[in-house]
Amino acid sequence: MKRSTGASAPHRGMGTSPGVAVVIGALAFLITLVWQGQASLSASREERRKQLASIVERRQERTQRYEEDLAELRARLDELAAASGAARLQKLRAETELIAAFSGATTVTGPGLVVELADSPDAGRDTLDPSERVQDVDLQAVVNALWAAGAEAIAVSGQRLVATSAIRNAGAAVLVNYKVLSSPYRVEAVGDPAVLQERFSASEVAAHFRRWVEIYGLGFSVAGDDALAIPAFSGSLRFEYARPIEDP
Amino acid sequence: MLVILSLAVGITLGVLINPTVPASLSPYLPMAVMAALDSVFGGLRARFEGTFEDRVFVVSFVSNALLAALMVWAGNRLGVQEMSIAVVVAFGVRIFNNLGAIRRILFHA
Repeated sequence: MKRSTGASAPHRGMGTSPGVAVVIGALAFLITLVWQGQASLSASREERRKQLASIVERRQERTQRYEEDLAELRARLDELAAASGAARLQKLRAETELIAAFSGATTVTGPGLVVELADSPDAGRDTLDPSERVQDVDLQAVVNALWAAGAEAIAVSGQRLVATSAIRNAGAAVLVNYKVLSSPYRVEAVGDPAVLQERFSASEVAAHFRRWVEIYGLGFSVAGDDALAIPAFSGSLRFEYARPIEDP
Repeated sequence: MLVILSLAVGITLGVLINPTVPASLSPYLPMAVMAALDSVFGGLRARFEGTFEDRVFVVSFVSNALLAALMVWAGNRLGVQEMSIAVVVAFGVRIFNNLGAIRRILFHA
């Protein structure tokens, strides 16, 4: 200080020129500017950081809430499945089983009636007298009478009668479901044994057979059974052209 | 007195106006400040050495600040992202040199 003011620049010592003053002012202005800019920058960064932290916190809370909701909903879903869904499933399964039973896709058991028909013992291999043999029409009549009497499932000598079953003659034998059957024919029908017995005995075909037993020596017996087992249809149930219609 | 007055005026102006520096200019402002500081310390040294000139001081202040900002800008344009470091180092060395000279003059050491 002493040197500069005293020695070389006495006239500029304290009295600074306006140019220098302006420059100093500009410098102060600039420094203040940058200082404040940095301060506000770091402040805004801090603020932003806090904002982000709060956002993260909120999201975490929300996630936790969602997880709780999810657990709750899952529990309710299980509950509902146990209550209604499974019940519906069981109902569908029961319906399916019922349909299978009616259509002949499954073996059915139950009480019922057994009708046995047999050719006349006199009917030898060479005898072609149809009167001494059980004909397809006889079996058809018996089966029809049993259906009419309230049978729910019928098998002829182990051949389950289904929608496509036919009973017809083939020479000396009878074909049921394309299976060759021969005497004695055992017609099993599941249903109320008492009702079946009563109605079948009252049917025309039963009356005919009772007579034919005496006239031609055919075998004919009717007996109730507590535990019949009607086998499932063994052939293929293929419908190539028939299509079910949609539920209206 | 005038110096102190202009200093106060500059600071109060900066505080009061508090202009928001555009983001595109923000890298150059600190460089300009560095250059200005360098010329200030250069001026101080010149004053202590008795070679101070108003004109030189003003011109060097403005040109240093502008040049520093220009260098950083050009560096950014040329893909030299670290140009600001070069400016900081260069002016930093000069500032410390000037400070050293001032110290020697003041304390004779």
